[in-house]
Amino acid sequence: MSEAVKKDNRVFTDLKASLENPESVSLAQGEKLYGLPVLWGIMQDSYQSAAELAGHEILRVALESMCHLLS
Amino acid sequence: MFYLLACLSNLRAGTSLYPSIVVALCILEGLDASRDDDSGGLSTKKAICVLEQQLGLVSVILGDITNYDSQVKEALKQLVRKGKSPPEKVESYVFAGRTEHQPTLEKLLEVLEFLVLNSNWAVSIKAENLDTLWKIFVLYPNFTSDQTLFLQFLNKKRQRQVRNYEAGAYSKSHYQEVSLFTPPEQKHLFTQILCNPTFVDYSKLTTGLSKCFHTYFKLINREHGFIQQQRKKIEVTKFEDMIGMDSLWQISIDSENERARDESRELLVDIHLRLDQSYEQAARRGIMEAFVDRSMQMLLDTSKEPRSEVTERKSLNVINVLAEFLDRYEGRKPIKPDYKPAGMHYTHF
Repeated sequence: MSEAVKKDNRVFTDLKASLENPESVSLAQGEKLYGLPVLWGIMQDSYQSAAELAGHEILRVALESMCHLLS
Repeated sequence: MFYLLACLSNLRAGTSLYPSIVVALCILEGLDASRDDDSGGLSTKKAICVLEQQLGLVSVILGDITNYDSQVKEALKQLVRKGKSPPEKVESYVFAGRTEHQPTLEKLLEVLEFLVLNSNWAVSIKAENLDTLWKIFVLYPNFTSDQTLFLQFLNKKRQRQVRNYEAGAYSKSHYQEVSLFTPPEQKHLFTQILCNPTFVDYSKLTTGLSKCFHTYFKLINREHGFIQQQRKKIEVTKFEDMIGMDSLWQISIDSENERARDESRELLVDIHLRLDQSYEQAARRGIMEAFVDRSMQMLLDTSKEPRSEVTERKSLNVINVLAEFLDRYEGRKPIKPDYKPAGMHYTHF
């Protein structure tokens, strides 16, 4: 069993605890961080920027890119 | 995994619903795609089961739907308070968060479907949650389009690919129709919701709601062994035990929706005429006579009520039910002679 799989399984062993400290999961797994946090930030309801960046189109593009990267 | 946790965190907080569902589904689907059998990694099904066991994900989503519904109701109240009229295109209006109304609802229903089907029914929606969904989408919908969307979700035909393993090899795959709900949920939906006048106003039935009633009427009675169905043809095996007959009568007589009324009337007549061969002539005759007696009694009762548009429509509908019955018995498109009690003409009724 690879290290990454072991860590995945550990996350699922206690999801509530993992939810309280998600950052440690990310760093431990060495996920491809570049760009993803920015895309994730753009998709949040709380995202605030110029009007042209807060619209639906930017959300759609960010979502598509994020899903592409994650899969 | 970090982003799955981030999505779950959002869903528990009721924020950024649409993107969180999209990303979560993408990650969960990816678990099966990237997994090989020996790796010991989580499968999509296993992950869904753990999410349900540890976080009660179905309840979290139900909470999100309820919360979103309240946000829409509040936004509409605010518009009224400000003297503004409701949005013309509600489907594309953003009531909460940053996503339009219709895609948000679609995604919330889609995630429920995903969890059930991809867990192979190890995770289910649960009967009590059906009541909640019904109230939000059908009984007190914010917009007619919300009701239509939910009924489409209920009426949707779902299939899954099946491959049987026989004699050391997989057979050719084929598609099998599946229901989103477990048998107890299906029964609850039909008997406690669709056959319950507090949940359904039969006089104001929409076409989608009528279709939903017919689908579950046939499904439940078929699964209980009370009818047999081949394609669209029905044969009744246990008439006296059939579930939902009173509601079917009510829809056939009370519904203001012509299509709902006509289709229900057709089904009602079918059920009284298409009794299987195990029924003896006398029993067959008794059921048919009871149909005519009930119709005549309804006519009599309606004639005693003060005359109004409603009673006139009701009388007309009863006459239509009778006419359909007689027409199907020996009119232009009569049932097969096998279904008729020997030598019995409609004048004998």
